[in-house]
Amino acid sequence: MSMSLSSDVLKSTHGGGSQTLDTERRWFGTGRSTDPDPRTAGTQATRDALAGRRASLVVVFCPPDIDFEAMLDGVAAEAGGAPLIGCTGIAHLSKGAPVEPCVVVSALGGDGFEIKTSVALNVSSGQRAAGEHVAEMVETLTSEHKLLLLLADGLGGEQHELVRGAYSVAGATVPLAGGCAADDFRWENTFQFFGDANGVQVHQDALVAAAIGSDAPIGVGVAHGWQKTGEPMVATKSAGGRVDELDGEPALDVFADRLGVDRSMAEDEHAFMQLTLKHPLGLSRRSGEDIRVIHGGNVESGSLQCIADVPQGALLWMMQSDQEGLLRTVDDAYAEAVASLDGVQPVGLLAFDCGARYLFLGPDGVADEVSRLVDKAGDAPFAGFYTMGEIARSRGAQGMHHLTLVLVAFA
Amino acid sequence: MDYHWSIHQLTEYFEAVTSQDNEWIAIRGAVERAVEALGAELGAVIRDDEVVASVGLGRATPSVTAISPAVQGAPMIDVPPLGLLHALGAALDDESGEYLVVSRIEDEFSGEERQLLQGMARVLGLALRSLRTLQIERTLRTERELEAAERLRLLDTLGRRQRLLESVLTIQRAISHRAPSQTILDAVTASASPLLDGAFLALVIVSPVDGQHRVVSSSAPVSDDADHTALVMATAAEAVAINDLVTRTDVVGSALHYTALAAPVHIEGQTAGSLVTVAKSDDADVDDWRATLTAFAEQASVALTDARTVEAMRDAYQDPLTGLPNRALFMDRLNHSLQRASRHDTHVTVLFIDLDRFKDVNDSLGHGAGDELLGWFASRIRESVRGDDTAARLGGDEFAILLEQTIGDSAGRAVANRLSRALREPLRLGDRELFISASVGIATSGGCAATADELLRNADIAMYRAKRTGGGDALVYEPHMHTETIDGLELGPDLYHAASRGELRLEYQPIINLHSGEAVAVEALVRWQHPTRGLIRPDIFIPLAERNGVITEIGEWVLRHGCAAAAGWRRNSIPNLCISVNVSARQLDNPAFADLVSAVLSETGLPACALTLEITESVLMRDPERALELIRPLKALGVRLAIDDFGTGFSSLAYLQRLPADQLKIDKVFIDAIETSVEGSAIVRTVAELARTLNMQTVAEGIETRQQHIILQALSCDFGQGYHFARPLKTSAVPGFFGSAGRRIGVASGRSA
Repeated sequence: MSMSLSSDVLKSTHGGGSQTLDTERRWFGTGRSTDPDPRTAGTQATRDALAGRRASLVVVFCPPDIDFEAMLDGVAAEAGGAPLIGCTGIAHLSKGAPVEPCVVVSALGGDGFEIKTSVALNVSSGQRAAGEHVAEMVETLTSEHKLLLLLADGLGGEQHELVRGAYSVAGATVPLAGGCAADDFRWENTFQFFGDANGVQVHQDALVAAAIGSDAPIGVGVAHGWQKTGEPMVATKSAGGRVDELDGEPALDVFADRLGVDRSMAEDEHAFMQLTLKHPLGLSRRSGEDIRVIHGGNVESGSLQCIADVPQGALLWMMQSDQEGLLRTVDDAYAEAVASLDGVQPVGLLAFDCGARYLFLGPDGVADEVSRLVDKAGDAPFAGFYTMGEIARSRGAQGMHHLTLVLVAFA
Repeated sequence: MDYHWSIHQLTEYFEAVTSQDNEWIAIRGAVERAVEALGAELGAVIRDDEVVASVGLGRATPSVTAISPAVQGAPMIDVPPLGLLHALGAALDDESGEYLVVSRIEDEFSGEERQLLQGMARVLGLALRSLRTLQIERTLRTERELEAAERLRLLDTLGRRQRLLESVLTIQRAISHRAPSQTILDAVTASASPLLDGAFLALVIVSPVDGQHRVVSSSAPVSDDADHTALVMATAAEAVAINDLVTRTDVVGSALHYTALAAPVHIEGQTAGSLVTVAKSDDADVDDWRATLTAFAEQASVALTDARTVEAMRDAYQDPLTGLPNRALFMDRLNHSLQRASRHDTHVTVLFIDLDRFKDVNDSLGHGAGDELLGWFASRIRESVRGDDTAARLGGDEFAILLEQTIGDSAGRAVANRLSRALREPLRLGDRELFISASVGIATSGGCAATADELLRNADIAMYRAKRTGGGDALVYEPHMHTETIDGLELGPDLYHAASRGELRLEYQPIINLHSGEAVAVEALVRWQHPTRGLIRPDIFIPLAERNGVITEIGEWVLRHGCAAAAGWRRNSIPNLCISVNVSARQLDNPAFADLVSAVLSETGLPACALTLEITESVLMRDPERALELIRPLKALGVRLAIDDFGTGFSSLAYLQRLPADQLKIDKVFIDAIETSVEGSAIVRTVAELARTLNMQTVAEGIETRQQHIILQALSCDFGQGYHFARPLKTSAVPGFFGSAGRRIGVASGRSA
């Protein structure tokens, strides 16, 4: 049996002075396993993340096509009854060369952390209510610093409503972060995990969340690395994520014309996706652009389908980027995430990286991204997954993002 | 580009808020979207000193005492536990006592953001009025106790509100679609008037130039009634002055009472004018009109601010001096047309156009004249293209034209010809008439030009080639031009060291007395033996040396070595040999040049009369007065002066007469023509006669055939040089060519030596 393992556990010995005292109250560990046996993979990754310690929270990311029950059994066997949340992702991020499929487990613990988890089911029938529901846990935290970590179903649509709901309850003092579960671009099924002392359940159309309290700051950073190109357009007819018209013309025609391709290209889903991933739309916003991935085009109606809503009347740009621009987001998101840690080195990081970036970057680019993150994070371990939508809010009220990299840094 | 992100937020906002039919959800959604759009953390709606909806404090509600200072205009509010926040408040309408408040931790709010929030508040106000009216109507319907008339009135109100919302949306969409600002402003007055029972409506703007109030749009022609107009203007002015809604009632003419209402209009948050309505007092429903007028004034504000935005957009893509698209837009269009061309299997042609002697105009007549020239030239370009071609100013005196769906270079040549014809008309600058020419490079897609950058670069290279041949010409790009240009770019750094590393060589082209056949002189020609590229042609490296300034060192090297060689030959074997050396514009411009020549003559022992300095006609005629000044000290040394490439510049006869020149060297292009055309020989004859009149000798350049020699003899030309007599000779070959007694080449009257 082949086994590839890596373990990154930050001991409380690095740093100096009060940093050491602080980190003694909090620890963050990650483990990764590519073992083909899901149970073994779960066990191994969790054992490495915990390194014999008692976890306050276990976070599991894994591919969408493994035996979840077996994998989670393995995790639970190591984690005991520790609160658990998790979901499926397109691919996974942790120290070491990116290898798929793999199970990535992160765990945090110590007296300095305070954890409350919750789950909302049948989310698509009420995204906002689901967001409100899981955010209620935040109110029970007593720690000085707080974060609401959200893992949603990437296929539910209107996730911005979910974030609005969470914000309406959590308020401006609690940062939001997280990602939308993915299924390897099949757009069929994504899965969310929720576990406690009574066992672990596998859900679909669910929102799992952890309200994390800490006696040290928690920072959230987000960056996209895209730039506007050409002249702006107005979404003259749109509903939800479907854009029917841009500047009064069929949206697909405008898009194809701008790129110099024939509209019939939309008939080949795969080829069209390869193209649209590199040319998303950017909505004009105060803080810059809000990116929308186009994931399909209807040749008959001439419409474009985006993963998230494009409001009618919105001003849009075609966006472009390159490998370096996308990789630079690691620097930018990291800088923003650690900026609010009061100069303290993070004990660990969670990463939520857009799945479309994964395709755009390609295998070499993904390896570069991981190595950049390793350079930035230094000794601090990190774990994450490639998502179908990222959540980050620390300033303002808007928290749903696309084609971004979100980093959460725990001091 | 600094784009007004806020303008289009209002359209999105409008769509979102007015789509709700539940008052509570509409208010909550309105607060959330306002907070999101403005990057704020906290938002609330206050009604009658009570917070009716809020977001940002979780389930807690901020206290009205903490928030309400924002309504009074306080820039900061203190809201525990968030602390001090930047704040902004706006009324939903003028009656209900409802306000929309947003606040954020970072960054104070800009004027643009204030205007956006005001727009949002009015939109919410209108949406709520509509919802409430609907609610009342529904309630009454269930009670079935309503008097028919009263019910009709309510339904009418409801219908009016709905029309109001629809009108506002129409205007919003016009703004989103970037309709011309006048169209949008007309839509504002046209849409509002029916909702004010058909009352006269005018949009009055204060001119930033003279401060006068002017009607820029109205629902009907401005009344002829002077008093009526006076009431409109007075009310408008008052609304601007106090920046608030104003009502005035006046007695006009035959005691008819008129009532006017004016609501201020803002551009980027600053009061800029007002929306005014006027009607007979009996007809005016002042209470009802206030909200409508204020709402439409907000729309006008957004439209006017957006007009500024469009202006800013235009600036970002348009050259302000000529009104042509700029480089950014040109490249964008070129990219798109290349993509279309590849789909439809057609080609794209680019013309790169550079004004000839623009710097001279700018330097001698000033930048104002330069700007005028650019504007005039842009008009000539516009005249030369079709409607769907793109002409652009790339920067400086560089322009470009993009032609789509071309086959080959013929379309490009046709445009270049049209431009050339358009330039035949002189440009009048004050009392001067200037004849302007331009060098044009033409490149067509396909082959090695796959990208916009490559295509433009090819056209640029061809233009540069055209310029080098003297300007005023159009050349089609050919791949070898690129190779040569690349060579030039790579050679630049090497050229700096060519002289010091001993890589320069001189060759000598004999100059023959056309009548005696005697070789009398040589012209020193510089060669560059590059260590890796071998021999580099002077037409490649001399222009490069002129551009980067190395020509001064090279010129000095040629002078010193040429004079030394000539002095040696005179001493040893060719006692009467004279030498001609080319002098560049930079060398001549240097006031110490005469000292250098003097020093070289004494160093080498060459008599001054044996040295001829060749200066091109265009250098001499660039600034003839200054040229005269610079030449005088040279002539004082006793050296001879030749005007090189005569015929390619624009000599003024008056200056030519004053120039103390000894020789006119007739350019090869004229010599080439003497065999084939009557005009060709006529020109040379005229030049020869002119030279004789001015007491100068003539030297014909580039003689390649015996026939040319015979004709030039007949035209009384004095001297000649060219391959017909000898190719340039290496140093070692010169004594042999001249021979101990001096070489004679006899062809006169058909005699051959």
